[in-house]
Amino acid sequence: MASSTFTVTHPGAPREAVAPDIRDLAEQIAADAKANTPVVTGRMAGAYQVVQGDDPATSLVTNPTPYARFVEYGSVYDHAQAPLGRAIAKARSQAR
Amino acid sequence: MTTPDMIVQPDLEAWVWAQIGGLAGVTSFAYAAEQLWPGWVYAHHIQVDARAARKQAARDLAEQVRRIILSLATVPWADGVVCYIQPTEGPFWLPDPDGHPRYVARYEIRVHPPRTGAIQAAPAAHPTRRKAASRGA
Repeated sequence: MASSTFTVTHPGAPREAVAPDIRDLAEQIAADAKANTPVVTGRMAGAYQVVQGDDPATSLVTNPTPYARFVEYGSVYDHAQAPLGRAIAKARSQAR
Repeated sequence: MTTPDMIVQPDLEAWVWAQIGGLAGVTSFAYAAEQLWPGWVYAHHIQVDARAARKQAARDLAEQVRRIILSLATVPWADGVVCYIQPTEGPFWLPDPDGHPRYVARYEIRVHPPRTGAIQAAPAAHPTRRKAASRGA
């Protein structure tokens, strides 16, 4: 029975190949989250960022606004608006 | 022109609450829901908050809820079928602004109706619109 031997010369190639699509997806999620964010001063809506992760196929959507977590997840005082959660939900449904 | 028959979707948000609503300190709500093509399956995105007087108690409560939700597919439900459950965030520590302990978790749960009774005719007649009352001069 014949056999073949393969040598992987670039283990990171698959992740580098999908990196542009991952980046585009993260940019779209950030744009949707911005559109979903309620605007009073516009500080939070304008603060979404896409940051490169530890490897090429990881992008992070972040928002450094101090109160963003309570707009996103709500609190005992306010309902959650979930601007990022709704953007991710949309992305998950479209990725199927 | 006739209206096509409809797929009647079960109320997942109420079903989740029926399972975890008896736990003191727990709240849940759906923040997004999407119909998956062609309409048989719906994806619901649910957030569950677990609050308690101490951090460890809140964490234990969140873990208890996580186990209940992950086993939803095994619980008989006359109104529908839970066909997919994925924790999408947490449970993670996010105290309230006043410092009160809270753990937050989010789940994607997909459901579809039972095979029987899922397809129903559209309402024979839609509620008639009331004509706006005219104001006298």
